[in-house]
Amino acid sequence: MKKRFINSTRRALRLGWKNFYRESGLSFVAVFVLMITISIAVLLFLLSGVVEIIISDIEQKADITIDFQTTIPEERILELKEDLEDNFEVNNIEYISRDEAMTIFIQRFGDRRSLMESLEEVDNPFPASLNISADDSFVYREIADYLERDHGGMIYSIDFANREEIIAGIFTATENIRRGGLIVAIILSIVAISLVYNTIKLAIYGLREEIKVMRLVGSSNLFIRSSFIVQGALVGCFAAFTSLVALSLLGFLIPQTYNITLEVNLYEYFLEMLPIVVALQFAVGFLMGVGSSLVVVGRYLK
Amino acid sequence: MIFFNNITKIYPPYFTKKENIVLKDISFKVEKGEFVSIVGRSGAGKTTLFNIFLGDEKPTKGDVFFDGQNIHKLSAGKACLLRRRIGTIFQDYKLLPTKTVYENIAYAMEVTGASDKDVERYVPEVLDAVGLVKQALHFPHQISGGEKQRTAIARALIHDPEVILADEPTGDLDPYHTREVLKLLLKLNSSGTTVILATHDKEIVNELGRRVITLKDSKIVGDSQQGRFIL
Repeated sequence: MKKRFINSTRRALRLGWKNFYRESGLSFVAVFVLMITISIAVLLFLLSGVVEIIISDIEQKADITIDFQTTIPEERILELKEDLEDNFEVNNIEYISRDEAMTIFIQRFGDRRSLMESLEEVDNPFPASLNISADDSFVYREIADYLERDHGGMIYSIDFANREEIIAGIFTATENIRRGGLIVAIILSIVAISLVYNTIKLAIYGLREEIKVMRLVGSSNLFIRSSFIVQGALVGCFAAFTSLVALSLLGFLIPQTYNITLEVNLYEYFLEMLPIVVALQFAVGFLMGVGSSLVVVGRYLK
Repeated sequence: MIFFNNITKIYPPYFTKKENIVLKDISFKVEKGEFVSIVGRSGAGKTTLFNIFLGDEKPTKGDVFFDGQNIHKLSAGKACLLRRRIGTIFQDYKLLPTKTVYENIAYAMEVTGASDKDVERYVPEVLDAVGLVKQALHFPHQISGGEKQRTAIARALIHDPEVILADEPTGDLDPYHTREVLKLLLKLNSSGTTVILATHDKEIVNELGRRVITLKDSKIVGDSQQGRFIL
């Protein structure tokens, strides 16, 4: 039984390989189409990662600042900070004391003599502040309402009112990008899958007479399927390899010609994701090659 | 051994309004070890009869039994086991175009699960018997019609089948190879293999002097034990 299984497997591998290289024109077309599909899948995967980083970056830049009355002691502000961290879905709250605020001002405008001279005339005029960032714009609205309602006496100003529309706009835009990306990904995936399926369907349509002959000389459905599975797997693996080479070249060329700001280096990101990319390419290639072969051969074996 | 029971095959109309009746109420038995010639003009339904026996086509009416098993009620697994007991020489050869002559013949052995050792031993023997040693590594598009026919014959014989279906096996052969093929079929028959030969070659049938079933107008019009070509 074991010997028979090994014998059949070896024959399937041999027949599949021979079909693959003897029908080189057909194999080339199938590899090319599958390579495009795999590359689309990988690019979508990489782009979704890059877009997510960029979106998070933009969203983190959309924050609000609460300035406190200069008479409010630091302890009360820190208590309020803890209160906000416990009760609202915030990413980060940064406390900037009055002294730190002045240091920042001096660092920024230290070369403006008139400003520095004016500053020497007065006591530290800068208020202590909390800088809040969150994942959703409505959190800002909730915090602003809460502070105005329950801690109005402590607050000097909240810069949310005049930035509300911009912040909401950023969140709407990023949400639209996410949604649009998903729709584009779905459409491209459907196009790619149907492209591969139909290419293999056309290829095997030409072989339907051959499949019929195989059956007539006594071949079992499993024996026929097995060689086509091997052929499909080979198409998938070759396509994954060529896609890897093509994307590596693309990844190498991009940073020299185009650099995205917003702290994303595409080439480094590609290298970081390389193990996942390789796994994804071979998994997509193998599954699509084998899956399409199985579906199409199955139709002629009914 | 083989029993065709009231087989009728009607193809539905395509270009004309009239349906095409190819076989009508065909019934006959073939015993183990018999040599039967089925004769009739082109289009008489000989190939259709073989296709029905192989399970490649379903009859419109009737059943075919092989050793008591209704061929058209077998599962896919059992049908392939049954086909391995039959060696078929197809009129249009039905060779696998991407395989060499050697591989075409070996394939019929490989599907039965024969070992590589047996394949390597028997395929060259059969190639020698049909005179195709030099063409072993050629592909079907690189050989002549006669060579294709001999490859189809070799493939049908390689796995030592119990029944040989030969559909016009000498159609593309020269007189020398025609005689060789007939000798081969007779030799196999003498060793117990059942042979069913479909032909419209009068000389072959008369020379054989074996049982002849004659098809005409979709029906059997003659079945004689030491028959002659009467059409």
